[in-house]
Amino acid sequence: MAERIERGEERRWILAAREGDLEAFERLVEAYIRPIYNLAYRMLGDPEEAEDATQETFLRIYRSLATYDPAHPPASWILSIAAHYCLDQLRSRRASVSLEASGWEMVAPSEEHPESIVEQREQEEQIQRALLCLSHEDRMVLVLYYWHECSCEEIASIMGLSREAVRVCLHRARLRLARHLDPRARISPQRPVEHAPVRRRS
Amino acid sequence: MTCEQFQERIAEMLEGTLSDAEAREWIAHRAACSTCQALWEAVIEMDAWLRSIPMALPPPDLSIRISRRIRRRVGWEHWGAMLLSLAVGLGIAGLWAGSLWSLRGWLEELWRWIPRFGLAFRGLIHPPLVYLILMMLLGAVVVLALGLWASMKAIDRISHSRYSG
Repeated sequence: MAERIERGEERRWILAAREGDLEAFERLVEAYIRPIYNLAYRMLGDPEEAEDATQETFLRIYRSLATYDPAHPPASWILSIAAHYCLDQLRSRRASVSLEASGWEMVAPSEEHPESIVEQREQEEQIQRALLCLSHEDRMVLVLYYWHECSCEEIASIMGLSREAVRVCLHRARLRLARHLDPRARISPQRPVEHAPVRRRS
Repeated sequence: MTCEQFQERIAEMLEGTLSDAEAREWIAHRAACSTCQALWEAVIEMDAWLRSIPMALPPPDLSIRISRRIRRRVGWEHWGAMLLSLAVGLGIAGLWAGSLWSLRGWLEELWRWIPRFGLAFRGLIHPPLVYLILMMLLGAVVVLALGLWASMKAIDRISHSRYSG
């Protein structure tokens, strides 16, 4: 995963926070605020909702500190809590809300040269709109794979799916997104890719 | 190779896990089918876009707001535990105070019994009322402290087992 800090250090922060060390927990917040915010923003599509989701995720992490198993990678554990929170939020939405109605707006990318920002924003806007047309599971798999650089095994662990289910989701999401972004690719050959239900890991 | 088989192998082609023979077959189909060629180009472009977009940046003050919220929560938990332990301690002390009060008759009996042996400490045998009250208060303080300590320990254990469970 991108921007990973040494796992040993993260483990120490979690264990220290469990013993009541708030500064250790704040270091964990600093280290994971961007990945969690990014995950929430890509999934929910709204900066304000992403902020709320980030806060709630960290509260959930704080409440669950004692359940953390040091044998597992901290990043997977943290992203799993964030992913499940976002999926819960999406499921609780009664009907799909249009991007305009949900107040969708762009979040500016950073660390880019000023001259490329406009082009980058346009690309990102297109991608973000296309992402929101995917199913929740497909979107989550895509976000974890591309932005968080998780492997299929890590995504399976985070989402509680089988590795094969993740591969199916990733394949389906790639084709759908590509077709959505490029009209030339929309003409479906022989048989379209089925939207098979996601099989949960037993 | 059919278009469907072509699509199924796109992920393997992206990951470079197709065998040489499969890759040749796959490339031959792509060259012959304009639809699959367009799909492949769209997938490649999308893949490059997704890899180029950085993570969204959270507002700069978000981490401070989160820390404040966590600290507020910890503060509430701390004071809640203190108040709860105080209530439990007072309850236990109240229960024990009843038992302590019942000892009064036994002590009076003891004080009446001691002079029969001719002990000289008459002041202790018939202590003034203020001494009695002071002794009772001292006993209540000890009992209250013990009750508080026991309830704090119990709360600590309960909260620990809640997280561990």
